[in-house]
Amino acid sequence: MRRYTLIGGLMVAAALAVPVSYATWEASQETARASDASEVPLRPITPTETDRLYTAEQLLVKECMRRAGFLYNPSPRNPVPEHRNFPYVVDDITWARRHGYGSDLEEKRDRLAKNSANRRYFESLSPAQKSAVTVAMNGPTAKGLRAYLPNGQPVEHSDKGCTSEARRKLYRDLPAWYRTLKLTESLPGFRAELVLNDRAYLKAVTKWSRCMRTNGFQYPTPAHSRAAGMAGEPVASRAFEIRLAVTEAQCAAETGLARTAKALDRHHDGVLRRKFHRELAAHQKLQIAALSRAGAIVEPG
Amino acid sequence: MKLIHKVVVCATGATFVPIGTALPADAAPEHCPSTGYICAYDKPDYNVTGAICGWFNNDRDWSTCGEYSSGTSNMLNKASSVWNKSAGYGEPNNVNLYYNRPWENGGLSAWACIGQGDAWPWLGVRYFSWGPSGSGTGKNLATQDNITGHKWVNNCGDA
Repeated sequence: MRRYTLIGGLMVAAALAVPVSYATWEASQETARASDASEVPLRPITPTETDRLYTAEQLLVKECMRRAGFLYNPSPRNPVPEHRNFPYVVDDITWARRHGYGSDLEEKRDRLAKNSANRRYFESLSPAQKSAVTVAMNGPTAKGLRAYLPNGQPVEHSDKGCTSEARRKLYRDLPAWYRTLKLTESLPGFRAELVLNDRAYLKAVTKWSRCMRTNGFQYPTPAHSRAAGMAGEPVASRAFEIRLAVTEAQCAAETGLARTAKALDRHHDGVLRRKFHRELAAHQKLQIAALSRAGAIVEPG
Repeated sequence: MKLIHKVVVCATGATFVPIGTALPADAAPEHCPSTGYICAYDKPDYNVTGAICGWFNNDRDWSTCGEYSSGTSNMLNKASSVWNKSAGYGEPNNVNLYYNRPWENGGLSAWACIGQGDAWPWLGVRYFSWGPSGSGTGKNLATQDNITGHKWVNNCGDA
């Protein structure tokens, strides 16, 4: 992995040196750093713990909405569990044979959404009731909480409403939770950008593209083949989508692109985790502290 | 784990009857009402004196507004601030905001992603930070005057 270090470092610098100065963002984080979380070992919470926190938050939201006079049905965290994203290349041949690029799963997502109990309830309300429901959930304005992403991008949310109330009960320090949540959520996007521009990835993509051409498909990158496969009727048929995605996955295995992308993803994940150690540690500290409270909510008594 | 199971069952099987009795008596008229829309404003900071469009469903072409419009019928490459007013009843509740429409740039477009209840006061400092890189995709460009459409998604990484 050492050979990636220099490139990775340069790319992180490049990706984060976007228009608004990084210094602005760093300055805005000084408060967060006041309580140094570096002594907390980084322990990403497990999928089971993530489920527990999510379910507890949903139950708190439901109870808060009930007090406001509305019904809310806790939503599943992953309504379409078989759905997957492949930001670098489709690398699972079995999955590609079944789903192509996943247009069937997108349809399933939209179908489930359209028929969900929450959606039916919401759509049965009058415009005034819909407004009241949304204000009860999100708060009356987008003011009260503010976070900055690594390149200075601001994002706001109300500190009122049932979403904020539930998170305050679960995580206690709502401003810190929001600030660290938004940063944590943004990192996969930055990580993918670092991988997609990594010289090793681009080199492997050239080989992959040659393999695709040999198999009758002319696409310079996996993003191009995905776009062609997902273009929909009449441009692309379902059979074409699957044939293209399977070839993409086979070429990704044959040319080493899948392996390279996985290694680079791990590498850049490590780079970002080290760079944002304090913020990630602060986020995990809040999550871990909330686990027992979540347990009491999910499994009372 | 019993309750987790119950939640899932409940989420897929229950039927609601609207009650909605807690309406504020002094509910004021709203600009881009809080009725589960993604709202786009041609002025920063959700300024209601400018043009506004709102959408409940997906729309990858903002040359027309969605269910709500005020002062315009076109938000294509005009938005300066956005507010995701999803109440969490729409499922999915995050919104991808795209640089290109599906038929542009060979279908390749970077996107920005805004969470439920989140708002971006000035798009001059919000960038298309998700999705494919490279020429014409809009990756890392500011979203100011550059958003052409949107799609509701479960997760921001969903293409």
